[in-house]
Amino acid sequence: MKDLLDLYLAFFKIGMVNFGGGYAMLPLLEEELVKKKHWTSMDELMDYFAIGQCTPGVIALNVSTFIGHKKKGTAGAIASTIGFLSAPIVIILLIASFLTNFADLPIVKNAFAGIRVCVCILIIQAILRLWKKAVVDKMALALYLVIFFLAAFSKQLPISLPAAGLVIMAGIFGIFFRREQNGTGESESKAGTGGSENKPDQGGSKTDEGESKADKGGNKPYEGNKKLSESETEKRGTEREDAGK
Amino acid sequence: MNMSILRLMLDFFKTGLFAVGGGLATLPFLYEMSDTHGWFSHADVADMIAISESTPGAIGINMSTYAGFKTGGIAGGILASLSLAAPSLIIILFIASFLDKFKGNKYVERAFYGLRPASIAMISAAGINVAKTSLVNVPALQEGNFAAFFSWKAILLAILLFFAQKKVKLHPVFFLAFAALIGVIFRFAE
Repeated sequence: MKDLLDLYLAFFKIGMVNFGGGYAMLPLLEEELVKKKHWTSMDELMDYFAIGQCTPGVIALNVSTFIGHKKKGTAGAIASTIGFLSAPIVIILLIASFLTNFADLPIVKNAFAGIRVCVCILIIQAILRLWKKAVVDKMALALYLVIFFLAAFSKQLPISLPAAGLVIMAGIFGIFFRREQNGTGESESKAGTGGSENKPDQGGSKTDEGESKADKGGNKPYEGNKKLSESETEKRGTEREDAGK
Repeated sequence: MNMSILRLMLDFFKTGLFAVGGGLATLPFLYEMSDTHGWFSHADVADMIAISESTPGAIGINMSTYAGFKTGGIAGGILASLSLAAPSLIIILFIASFLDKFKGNKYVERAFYGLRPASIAMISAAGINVAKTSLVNVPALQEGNFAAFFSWKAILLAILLFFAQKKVKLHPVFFLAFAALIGVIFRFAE
């Protein structure tokens, strides 16, 4: 029970100061949950954000649910999600009842013009800290650049690609590309992510089960893999076009 | 009143289920709701975008609270927000338990090899969007007024904050509060 209250309060605090949307939450999560409480790692946060982007619902809530689940299962997920919701609900109820012209007040406008500058810097610093862990080689860098360009300038491009589609394609690309260079790539990824969580070693029996299942389902693509990898770049292009339609 | 709250909960549940990609993805659903039920006007949605930019919390949550409040008071506001959050909560619980089961699976690891740079790319794009509304003045450039393109006050504050954060180890909230204060003193919105 105390754990659930801890989760609720931690996310209540974050919800109260989370200005500027889902990704602006990252620096706050880092400070509260990674540095202070050690409930999660930056690697995991990054994974949660990627999944939160391509599943339905508000990204910040999705990330809250993930962390709550990791800490305390279903009850934890509910506690952290409601914790994150609480402050915004109260604030909007107050504004809706008393301050109908809230957003037009000069002091509010000025304060938030200042806050946006700070949010911008917080995001940049979070990116700098995450960079080494995510962009582990040249291929990952290329992936980053392509997706960044498509996401940041989506309004200027003739076809707009949904952000969720971009993230899903990156995941699919990862599955195919990693298979192509099995030996070196695999050890690199372990070095990259193994620092904070010993993922590969945990729960050996479960892992074996998972692999055998995945192999049963994925026999065909595994056989045809070498052919696929040759036309990898072409395929990537057509996939992206399909998603655009 | 009970029926309309039920209707409201159902509609926000639907929005939570189908709006993929964060707060702004809920907007088309909100406009549709406004057209079919008239719980709030299009102008209300525009106001709520402004309010969401000046309060913590995601726009989807804020809008559901606001619409729920208008339809069914405080209880309506709370119920509508919870309805919006419910579908993603259920979906994420499924995914989280799936990931627990397949932790270390090479296909999952490979997928994350691609997902991680994508995640940072999305964060960078979000950063660029905030920068566009805070550090530069895009409309001025379109009018050909290059001198007014950079918001110098804001850029100075950004540089100051960037180095201050490296030197001083404080909770991000202190920097946010400091930036708000500077914004008010030097009238950043003008």
